[in-house]
Amino acid sequence: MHRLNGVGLAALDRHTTTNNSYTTLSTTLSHAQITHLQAQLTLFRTALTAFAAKHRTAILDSPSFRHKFTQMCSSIGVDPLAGPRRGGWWAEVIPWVGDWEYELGVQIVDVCVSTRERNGGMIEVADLCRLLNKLRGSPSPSPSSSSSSNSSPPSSNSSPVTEPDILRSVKTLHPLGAGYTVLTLSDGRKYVRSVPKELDQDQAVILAFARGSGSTSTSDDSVSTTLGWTRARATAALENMLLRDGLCWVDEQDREAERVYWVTSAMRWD
Amino acid sequence: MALSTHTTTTGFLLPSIHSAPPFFTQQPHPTSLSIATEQWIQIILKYSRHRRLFTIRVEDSETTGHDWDEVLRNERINRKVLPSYLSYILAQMVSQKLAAYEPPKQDRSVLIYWRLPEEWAEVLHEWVSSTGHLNTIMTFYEITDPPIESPLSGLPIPLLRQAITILSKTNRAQMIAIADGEGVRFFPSTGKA
Repeated sequence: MHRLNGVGLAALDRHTTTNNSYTTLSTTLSHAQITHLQAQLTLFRTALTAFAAKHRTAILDSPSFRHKFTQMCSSIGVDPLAGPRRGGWWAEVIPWVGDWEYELGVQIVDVCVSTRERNGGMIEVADLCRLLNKLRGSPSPSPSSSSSSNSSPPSSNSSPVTEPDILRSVKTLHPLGAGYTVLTLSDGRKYVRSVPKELDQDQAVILAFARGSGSTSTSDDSVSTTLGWTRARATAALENMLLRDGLCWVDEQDREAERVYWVTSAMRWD
Repeated sequence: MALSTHTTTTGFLLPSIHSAPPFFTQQPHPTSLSIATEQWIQIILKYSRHRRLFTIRVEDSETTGHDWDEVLRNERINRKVLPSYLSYILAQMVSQKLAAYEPPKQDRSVLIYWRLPEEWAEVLHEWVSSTGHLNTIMTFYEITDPPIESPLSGLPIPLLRQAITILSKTNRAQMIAIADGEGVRFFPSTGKA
């Protein structure tokens, strides 16, 4: 008679046995899953390696291709820049992407250090891009490049550098502890700052204003009228930029305003 | 506003920084000042080499119509170097031995060494040898105003004197008093300078 549906000791035994079987089953399933996953990962890794190797030249040469490649990597959740220090297998797969970024990073430091005295440690990304391309002897990627190009090299041995490349490289410079950061001003312009000093809020606003108004010079009058500050505040901020930080130069011969302040990134040196 | 280079009427290429108005003001920030001054010194040296000018005076920033107009003024942006700034620039040049106050003991006028006295000494000796004037007595006038244009034409006497002094240290020249003033005799290099 099986009505009472298995109660009693036998039921307990059967219960345990059932549990055990389930546990075994689940372990088997998990193992199967893990194996499957590992197989998938290996497949993925092989495919990516093959892809990277095949398109290596394309990645190094074409900024748009490189951009798409890194976008793809980041959407998968993979960081091609993770170098040997993380011990990841990326180091074997695509070491040369990392190397390229580091090389660019070194060049960025070079340009920032050499222009630091002129612009007080803040360089606009567009300027940095232009100078980097000049340094590398490669043409500037944007069609509207600098006007003072009386010496544009006919051939380049390296690819043009673009803004996303620069932004990524600056990130890799972060662990150096030198304070290289990218600052974005309120009007969207990005600056690379190479001196570990806090940019005074007022100064940031003035920088944005000077650039945004389409001119590269400003006087305390125009600042105070446009931004609605008191004359004293405008003068103080501009003088600070000028005297303390060396972020701008002054022109005392302007007929309209007494002192006109020029943002140094506006001035090009040959 | 993009800055551009500019070629002057005498064919000298001014760098783009010269088109920036603040370049003509003495900067209060020490680093900016040293950068700007350095640029000015380079422009002055190059221009003096280009036009073979040997002197520059603070007065040149106060007047017009002379040789330094093209550099000290920028009519296109209506700016000029003020006398106080020029005076500072000249002082810097002197301290870097790229110029000397001439006549000495004043600070308004300098002799520009777009070629150092040592280099002038070599050029002088070279010219004397190649024109066959070794071992003969020459007057200063013959050197600075030869009938045929030479690299030494127009050389100011003080600079010529310095060159001769340098040569005499290696026994390649000797100053001699002659009837009309001063003369000099040059000797060939003996090889053991």
